Amino acid sequence: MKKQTNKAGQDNIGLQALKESEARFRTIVLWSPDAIIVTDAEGKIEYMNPAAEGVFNRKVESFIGKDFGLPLVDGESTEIDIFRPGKDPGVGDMHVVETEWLDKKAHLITIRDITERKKAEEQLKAIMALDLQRKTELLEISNKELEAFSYSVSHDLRAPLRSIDGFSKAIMEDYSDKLDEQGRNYLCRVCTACQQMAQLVEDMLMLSQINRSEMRRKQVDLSALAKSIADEFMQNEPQRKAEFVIAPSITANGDGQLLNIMLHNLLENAWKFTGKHPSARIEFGITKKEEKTVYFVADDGAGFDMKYADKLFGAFQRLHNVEEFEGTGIGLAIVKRIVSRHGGKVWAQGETEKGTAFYFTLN
Amino acid sequence: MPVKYVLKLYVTGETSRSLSALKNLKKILSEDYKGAYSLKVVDVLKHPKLAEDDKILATPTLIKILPPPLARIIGDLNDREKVLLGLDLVVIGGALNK
Repeated sequence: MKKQTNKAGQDNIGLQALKESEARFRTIVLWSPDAIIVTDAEGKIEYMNPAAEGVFNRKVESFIGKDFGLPLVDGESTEIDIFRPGKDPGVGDMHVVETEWLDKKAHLITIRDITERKKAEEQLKAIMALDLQRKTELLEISNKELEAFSYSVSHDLRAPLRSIDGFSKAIMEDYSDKLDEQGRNYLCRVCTACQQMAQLVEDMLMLSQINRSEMRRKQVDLSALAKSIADEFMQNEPQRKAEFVIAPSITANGDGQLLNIMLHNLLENAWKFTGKHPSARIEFGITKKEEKTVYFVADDGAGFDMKYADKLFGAFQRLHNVEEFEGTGIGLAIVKRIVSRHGGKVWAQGETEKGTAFYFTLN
Repeated sequence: MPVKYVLKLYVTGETSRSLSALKNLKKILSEDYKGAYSLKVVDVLKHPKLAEDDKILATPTLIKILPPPLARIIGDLNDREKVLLGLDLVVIGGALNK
C-alpha cells in the first residue's frame, strides 16, 4: 500500500515538473518577438505564435491549416519580403529547422522582423555612396585642375626660361671680357641653374602628360629596351666600370613608350646612384611573388635608409642633395605613375651604401 | 512543345529578394523546362487581393499549379535541386521525370 502511494506521489511530482517545464516553453514561444511557425513536412501551417500576428499584420487563426510553403533556406537563414496587407511590406530573416511536431516530421520556422534594420542599412549605404560620389567628383576636379595647372605652369615657364638662358649665354659670349672672374663665375651659375630648371620643367611636363596620354597596349620586349638603355649609358660614360646584367626575353603587356620611359628612369637612377662607387653592378630581372611576376632593377650603389621608403616616389622628393647626385626628384614619381597606369605596384628596398632594388608589377 | 507546367511566383516590388528569385527561377526553367512552362509573376504590391486570396505571408513564394499536386515553396530559389524537389518534380540524372 505504502509503495503505491509513493508511486502516485512520484507521478504527481513528475506531472508537476512537466507542467512547469511546458509553462516555461510556452512563455518563451508566446512572448518571443520573432514569428514562430510550425509547418508539417509539406509546408502546411500547424502552429503560429502571437508575434506572427504583428509581423504579418494579420490574424493568426485564419492561417492554421493553410499552405505556408516549403521553406527553402540556403545556408543559415534567408531574407524574405513580408507581405502585410494595408501596410508597407517588411523584410524578414527566415530561419528553418527540420524537427518533429506531434511525432511527425515538421519545419520549425522563425522569422525575425528586420525591416527597420534594413531601412537603416539602406539609408546608411545611400549616404555613404553619395558621400563617396561627392568626394570622387571633388577629387577628379582637383586632379584635373592640378594637372592643367602643372601643365600650363611648366609650359609657360619654358619661354621666359629660354630667354634667361639665351641672354645669359649672349652676355657670356659678347661681354665676357668686360666681366671679372667673379662676374663670369656668377653668370656660369645662372646658366647651370637655367639648365637645371629646364630639365625640371621638362620632367614636370612629362609627369603631367603621362596621365593624359592614351595607353596603347601590346607585348613589349623589356629585355631589349633595358639593353639599349644600358648601351646608351655606357657609350655616354665609357670610363665607368659598370656591368649590366639583363635577364633575357622578359616581356610585358603594356604601352611601349611608357614602359620605355619607366625603365629608362629606373636604370638611370641605378646608373646615377652607383656613380660614386669604383665599380657597379646593375641588374634587371624577374622574380615571383604570390604567383605574380615581379620585375626588378637592382644596383649596388648608394642605397637609402628604409625609413624614407615612402618618400621615394613623391614628386620633388629627394633623399640625396643635388650637389651629391644631380636630378630633379621627379623620375621616380614618373615611374610610379606609369606603373599605376598599368594597374601595377612599385616599391623599393634598400640599405645605405648597400644598394637599392626597385620592384614593380604590371597588369 | 505544349505547356505542361504552370507556375506562379509572388514577389514584392523590385526588392533584391524578388529580383534574385526571378533570375534564379528563370535560369532553372530555361535549363530544365525548355519552353514547356507558363510562368505568371505576381507583385503583391500591385495585386494585394490576389496575394490575400492565395494566403501569401511572405515572398518570394512559388506555386506550382500544374501538373498536380499543387505545391508551394518559399524562400530563396538558389538551389536548383531543392527547388525542383520542393515543387515535387523529381530530377533523375539531370532530366525531369514527373
